[in-house]
Amino acid sequence: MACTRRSPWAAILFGVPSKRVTITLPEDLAPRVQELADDARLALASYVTRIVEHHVLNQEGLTAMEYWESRHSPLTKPEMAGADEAIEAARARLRPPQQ
Amino acid sequence: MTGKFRPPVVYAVGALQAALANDRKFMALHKCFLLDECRLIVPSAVRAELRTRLGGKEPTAVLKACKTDWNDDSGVINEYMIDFALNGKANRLDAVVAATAVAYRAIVVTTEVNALELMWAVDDVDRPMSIITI
Repeated sequence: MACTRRSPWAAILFGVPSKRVTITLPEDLAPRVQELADDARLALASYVTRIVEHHVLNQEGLTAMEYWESRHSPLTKPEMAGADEAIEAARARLRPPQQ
Repeated sequence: MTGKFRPPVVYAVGALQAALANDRKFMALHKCFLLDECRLIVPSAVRAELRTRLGGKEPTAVLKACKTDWNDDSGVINEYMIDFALNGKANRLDAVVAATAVAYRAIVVTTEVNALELMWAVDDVDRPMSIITI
């Protein structure tokens, strides 16, 4: 069962109220997540928060997009292809050089 | 290696105005970014400017997927403003967008061909970012 506790210090420091949640990770996964957090120079909690936040925003965005398409007609294949082309060109300018 | 290169994305004011106008070209870009699971970032200064320009209206469908960036490193922004001033365009909002994009090594989506373009042209090695103009 999750243990929850509000952290007033987090609210003061970052302006966003936080809630302490205890989660359980499989034994083999926990050190790998810790390693990734270390690589990102983040505390484990901050790293997991970043991953979860990104996932939540993405899912909410996709749901909102679905609603938008239901109201304004779905985006067509040529429209999506045009966008994809523009994105690939922009990424090519940023892509690190191949080793 | 099979990993796809998916840099984060910074939306400028023009992009969010296009979203509010239901611009299909912008919405197609936004959907592609979502399907690629890109990080979408809106600087807090951009949100504030949008509220001022549009009297409180916001493109909620798009902003639902965006993280607001509250970093306001005035030193870096002032440095960018100096560069923009040298090019004849000293705009704090452009400086904020450019500083955010470079910090995240991101793609900027904007409607205006403005100082951001100049920034890209001036120095693309030390200040990596890329621009999509809609």
